Amino acid sequence: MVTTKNKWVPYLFLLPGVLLFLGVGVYSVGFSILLSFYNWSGIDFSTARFEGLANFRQFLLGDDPIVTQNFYKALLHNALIAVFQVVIVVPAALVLAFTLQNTKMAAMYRTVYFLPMIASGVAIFYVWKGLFEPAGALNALFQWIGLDFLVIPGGMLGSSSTSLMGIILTTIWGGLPGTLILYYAGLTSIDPTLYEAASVDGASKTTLIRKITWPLLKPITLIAVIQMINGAFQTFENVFIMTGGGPGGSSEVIGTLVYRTAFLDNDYGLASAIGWVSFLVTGVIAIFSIRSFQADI
Amino acid sequence: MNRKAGCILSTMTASALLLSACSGGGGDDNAAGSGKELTMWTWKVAYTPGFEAAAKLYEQKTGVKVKIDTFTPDDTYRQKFQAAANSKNLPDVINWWATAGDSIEGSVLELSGEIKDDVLGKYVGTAMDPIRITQSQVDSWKTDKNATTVQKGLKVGEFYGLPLDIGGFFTFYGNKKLLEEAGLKAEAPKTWEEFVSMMEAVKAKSGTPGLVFGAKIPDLWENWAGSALSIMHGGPQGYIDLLERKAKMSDPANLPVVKAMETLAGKELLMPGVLSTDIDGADQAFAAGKAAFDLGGSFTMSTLLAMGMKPEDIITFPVPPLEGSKIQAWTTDPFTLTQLSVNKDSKNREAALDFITFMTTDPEAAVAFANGAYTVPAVNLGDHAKNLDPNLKSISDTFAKEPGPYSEASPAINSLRGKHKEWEVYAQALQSVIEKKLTAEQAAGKFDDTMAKLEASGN
Repeated sequence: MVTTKNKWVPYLFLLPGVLLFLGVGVYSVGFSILLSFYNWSGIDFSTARFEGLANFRQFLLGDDPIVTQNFYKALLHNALIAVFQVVIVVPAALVLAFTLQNTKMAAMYRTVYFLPMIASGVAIFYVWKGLFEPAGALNALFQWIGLDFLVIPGGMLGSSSTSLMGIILTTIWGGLPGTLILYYAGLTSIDPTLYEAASVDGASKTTLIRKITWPLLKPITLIAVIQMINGAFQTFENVFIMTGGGPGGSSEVIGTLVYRTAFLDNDYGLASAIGWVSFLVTGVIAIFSIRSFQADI
Repeated sequence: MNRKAGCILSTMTASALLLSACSGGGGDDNAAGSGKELTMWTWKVAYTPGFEAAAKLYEQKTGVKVKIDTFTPDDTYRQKFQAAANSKNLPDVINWWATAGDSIEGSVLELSGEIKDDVLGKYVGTAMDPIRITQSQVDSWKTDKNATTVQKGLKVGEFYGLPLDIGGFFTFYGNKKLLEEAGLKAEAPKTWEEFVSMMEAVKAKSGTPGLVFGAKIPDLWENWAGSALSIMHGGPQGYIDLLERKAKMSDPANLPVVKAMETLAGKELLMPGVLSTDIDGADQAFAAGKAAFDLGGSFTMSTLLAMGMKPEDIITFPVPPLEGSKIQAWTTDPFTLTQLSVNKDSKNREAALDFITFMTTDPEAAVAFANGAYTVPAVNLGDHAKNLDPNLKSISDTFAKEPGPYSEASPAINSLRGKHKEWEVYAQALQSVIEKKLTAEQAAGKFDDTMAKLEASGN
């Protein structure tokens, strides 16, 4: 029981977490915002030079045509990843969630479906890289089933026409379990009496899905879509490991562009500015998604 | 202990544990301020045995121990350095890429006032070139709006490290067995065209692709081969003109170099998947016999030997010139690969300075380091050269003794190729040439158009 004597004790317990949040979370975010207005090479902030909005002008308004081109190209790639993910993962996860709910071998399927979530990303992406090699499993499979026209001689990641597709495939594979969990939880939380009542009234299976399941799953879909858009705009690991953004910048995303700008070109100010604009873009898309769904919910 | 006290104690313990977990963990690396131990960082795993061998000699001579820590890969090391520099937690001695204006200058000691000509005279002729700040670099940083404050503050003649080892890119490694099986003599080709015909012969005989290199890294070709082809074809001044935007890539003097890559792609002599192959992957593919030739540098040999190849299985030769080139043979003009620097806040500053001078100028230490690290030291070894590992000595013997064409172009390369971003576009365009999506003319045109656009926008 909380008394006036010990009412501050709970706050004391919260103190480490609050300090950690302030020290790591707020400080680093604030520092990063500050950095985006400076030219700084990463060592000793006293050498940083205030540049106002120059970093933003560099890549948004074409002050530096190459950085501008790289930024918009990377942004487009992120957007494509997001679109493909939403369009493919949402229906796929929904179907798989139904399967999970209605199969006797749910435990086995759950393990298989959730594998991408528990496996180490770095190790898995090296496996994917191997699968996409010229002599990798994908080309071998196409040859084996007689679809030779689908074989990519330089490997999926070695061609600028297909490298982004390879990245999208791995992103879809990695994004499926999270959405699946959401839908599975959503499906199991729907009150079965709603279905019973509708069935008594003569509703068909399709009507049950259309009138009960889908409306009740809409808030979950909203969360899933926002999560996927957010994830797509934070894509980094798979691109960094599998293509490094190439060939010819064909799979460059904001994450690798920021990494290259900060850690290879030592331009932390520009990298921060790019990162924050990308964050704002993600935020705008998320708000747009929320509004369009809210009108429906 | 009452409940309230227990709660407070638990909270304080948790906080203490949390704070200790968040702290650097290593404490003060310079705490061994007794002068009996120095700390040193490197990113080169392969160099560690060499550093340890030389450090042992130094300990025997002075009684000062050197503790060496290795952090790899390159990116991790850079981030580790930056974090430690910001928290004033750098080691006494730092191994770094031999370069000037890489933004470490604010954290390491400027040595022009400390190291005199008696020491500097011991290095091979061009060893200090990439380390010592030049007038052209100062001018370039002054006018570059994106240059950092650190770069803008550097002065001509300053240097922040001593040269440790030298090497050269522009080296092809050939699989002797594959060449002989194709009925070829395992000898260096005299021209680029002869080199191409050797690759064709191997491919025709065994189906093995001609060449592999780390084409995943867009500018690797230009850094390791393309610039040599250009310098030989049009002379150093021709390449400098291109860097200084006084010439175009589509000029007849420069286009043949772009066409060299187009030929490799057109004749399908590059290993399939080369665009997703990095440097290590290329060396692995070559060592596994998946390509007849591998592009590398003097430092590649140690990697290939570590991968199980034997020196007698390999032929090495410099980038051969295109027919009609102004320079008919490439002399591997060595340049400094890495340097040793001293933390400016080191408590063991004098000892650290003494150690880097010893490491980079004492012939015995240099030989011990070189044999352990499999790299050629930057110091003139004189008679001590005979103590080098035989393979290392043969690499060292191929190096030009006098500054050559690359040295002439290198100041412009160092100051302009990173700054002028048409080179970034060109590197990506060359990847498209490899994919046969662009012709040599289109790639050169892209370079020229970008150059004009950048110039017009003041970049």
